[in-house]
Amino acid sequence: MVMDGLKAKTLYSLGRQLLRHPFFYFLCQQAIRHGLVKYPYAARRMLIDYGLGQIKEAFQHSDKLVWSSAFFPTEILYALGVTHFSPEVASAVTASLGFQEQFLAAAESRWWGRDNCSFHRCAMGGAFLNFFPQAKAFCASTHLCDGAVLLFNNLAARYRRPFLLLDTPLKQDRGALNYVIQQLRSIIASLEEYSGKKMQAHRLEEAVAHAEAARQALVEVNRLRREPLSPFSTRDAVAFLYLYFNGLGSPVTPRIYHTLAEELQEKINAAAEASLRPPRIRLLWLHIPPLYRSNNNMLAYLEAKGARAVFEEFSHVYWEPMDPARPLESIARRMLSHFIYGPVERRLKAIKRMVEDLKVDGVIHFSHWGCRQNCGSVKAIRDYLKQEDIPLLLLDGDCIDSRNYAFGQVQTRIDGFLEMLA
Amino acid sequence: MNWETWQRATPVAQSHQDERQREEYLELLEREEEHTRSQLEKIAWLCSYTPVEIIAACGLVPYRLLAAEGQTLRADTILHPTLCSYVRGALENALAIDARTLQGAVLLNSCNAAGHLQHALAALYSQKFQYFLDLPHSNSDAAIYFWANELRQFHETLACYRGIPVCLDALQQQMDLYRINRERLAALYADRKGEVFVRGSALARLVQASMVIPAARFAKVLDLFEAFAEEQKERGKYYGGPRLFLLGSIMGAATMEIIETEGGILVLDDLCTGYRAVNFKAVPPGGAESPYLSLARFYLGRSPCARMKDSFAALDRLEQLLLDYRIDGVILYYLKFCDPWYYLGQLLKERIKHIPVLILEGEYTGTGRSGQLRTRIAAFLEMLKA
Ligand code: SF4
Ligand code: SF4
Repeated sequence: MVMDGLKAKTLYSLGRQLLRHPFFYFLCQQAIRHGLVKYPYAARRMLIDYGLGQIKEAFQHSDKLVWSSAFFPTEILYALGVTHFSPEVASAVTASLGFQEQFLAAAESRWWGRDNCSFHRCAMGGAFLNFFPQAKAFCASTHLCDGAVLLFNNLAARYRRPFLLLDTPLKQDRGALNYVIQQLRSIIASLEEYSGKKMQAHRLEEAVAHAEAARQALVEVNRLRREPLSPFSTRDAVAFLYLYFNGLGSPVTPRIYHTLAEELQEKINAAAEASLRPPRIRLLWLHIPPLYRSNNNMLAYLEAKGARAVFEEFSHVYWEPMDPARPLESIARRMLSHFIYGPVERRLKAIKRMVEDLKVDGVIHFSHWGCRQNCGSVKAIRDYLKQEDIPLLLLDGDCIDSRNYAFGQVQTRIDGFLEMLA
Repeated sequence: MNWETWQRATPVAQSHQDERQREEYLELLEREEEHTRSQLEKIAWLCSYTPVEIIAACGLVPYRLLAAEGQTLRADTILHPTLCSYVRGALENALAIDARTLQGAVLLNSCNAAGHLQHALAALYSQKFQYFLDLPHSNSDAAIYFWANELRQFHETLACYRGIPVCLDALQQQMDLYRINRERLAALYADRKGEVFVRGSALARLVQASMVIPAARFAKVLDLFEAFAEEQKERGKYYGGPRLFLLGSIMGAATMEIIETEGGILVLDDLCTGYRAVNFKAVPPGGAESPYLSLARFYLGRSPCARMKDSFAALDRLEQLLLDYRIDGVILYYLKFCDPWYYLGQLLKERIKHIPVLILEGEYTGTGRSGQLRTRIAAFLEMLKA
């Protein structure tokens, strides 16, 4: 912990100068590629390498950089060759490196209160502190929460940059599909204008083909995660969500998922040969777990008690196969099919499916403070799981902001839940 | 500001005739509201983007489900405490009113909280008409066509529920009635660029009534109010004090009352229960295009609420508005846990450079009466007077 704190302090005090310098990311990449940092999965090494490369690009080519919100279709950005930066993901990385408090404090010192989502508050702080690469335009979709649209709208107006919004209807009919396709076209036209690049049809088809390859590989990873002896838990998986949020459309993403699937298969085989025992209790995690560094990690505590969060809902593949021959329609269909967007019944149905497929013993719902979308669904989820006889533990907390985290309370609740499941 | 005419706690003495006229108007307003409440053919709605014209064209009364005053004990067992008090108050109200007087509810995906309220109401009114409209976030052509289609489907579904054919003439008629009422209400606000002859809270109260009383009947209430306002103007009795612009999500009457009793003059507002609800751009009546398209243009082209894409860019026009209305101070009021107004307000505070801004966070009910709120408002008004 002391080391972690020290590392975070050093990293922070390196200051924005260094963190904004592409050479810094180049050095980090080299260190990773030459094995100076060890990872339990080669896929994880590839992932970090890829992420660092993207940040390097973002600082190097900020003349055509856009900020994109978590669910914005990155396929069109890859196809156009426009670099992108995701502030929500940046908040997650900031927290995992341990210097989120400086960012949060920067936002809070400018009247940014603690009642809204800390993913966005932390990102706002990073922007205030000038840690992030400057955007040419801000691209957001209306998925899941109001916060993303509002953060992007605020930033675009603040920096007087264009705000490109993909307004995604809650309905999933033909009218909704056409509306999304029309918007994708006009967003592409605007991006062409800001970046000076021209969209080429074959590049868009390629990007969708990469996204489809990624989907198939992720389906395979998820199939392996159902295996009782799969060692891959939510703790491992959280970092890979980067690919879902940032990497659909890139050729690297399917490669990383493939590598992960191969490694998982090997580890499962090895575990079977060594006659290892599966975890006593299998759990499904709803929403995202806390991402900040802590000695009292909830997921680690579960594992110490013989339970394991074997899956997290954001890894669920909810969208249908994508057809590169109909790229915009495929992207639009993916946009419309998000299972956490729209009527809560969609999410309930998906949860039920995950519970059955993964053969979990119970579900943990993490109510991230400030997330209206997620917290607001708690009652519906509780009622539904009760009716379906699926045990549920509700945990309150925050994914980014570690202040006010009382491990004792969480521990008591987890203990009680596991006892009930035993 | 004519500082010589300053009066502390400014309400001007009312003559006997003023009082009588005011009472006559209020009596009619309350009678009409009461009459609507007793109607059995009501459809509850919440967001001011709701196409009330369609509900009325199907022979039903569009009835705005405002939040209940007081605590929200029952609603709190259903809705998460981190959803705004307006949404929890609206559910409390829905639980309290006689469900037999409602035919159903129409909600919009205005914000995350509204979506959760829709789910709660769907359970509460499971036997009744339910509709959730997909409101776009922008005013683009694509959005207008999408919204027009939404409106058409909504009309067809509601007509089918009523067992009546879709009648475009009836729709056009309601569109005209509502448009004229809104224009008349908007004109009352426009009149406030000069001296203010009626209280801002009274105007907000009138707008609130327009969301409950059917358009044709409301027009009569409006007649009386206009006559009253005209009379006040002719007598030349205006309210003196710091001229305020009030904006934000939705404000309970109690908070407005505090501002006025502390001597503030509510000249203009941009609230979802006030001017914003009537501040529509004029659209020529009738015309060749389908009524759904006109209606879609009308709603999406109105002064945008914070959840809309154009709302942040619209802040650039605010300074001019403040000058036009000779505003001395701005009060930004947002409800706790209301993200749209929170994010917009954050920028607004930075954009308004030359006029003092007071930021208040509150609960729709409850906080409005708190001493702390009064102290802050009083201090702000003192500062404006200094
Ligand atoms: S945690 Fe909730 S509010 Fe925050 S970014 Fe995610 S969906 Fe939006
Ligand atoms: S006050 Fe804010 S959170 Fe509440 S219903 Fe309105 S927009 Fe939604």
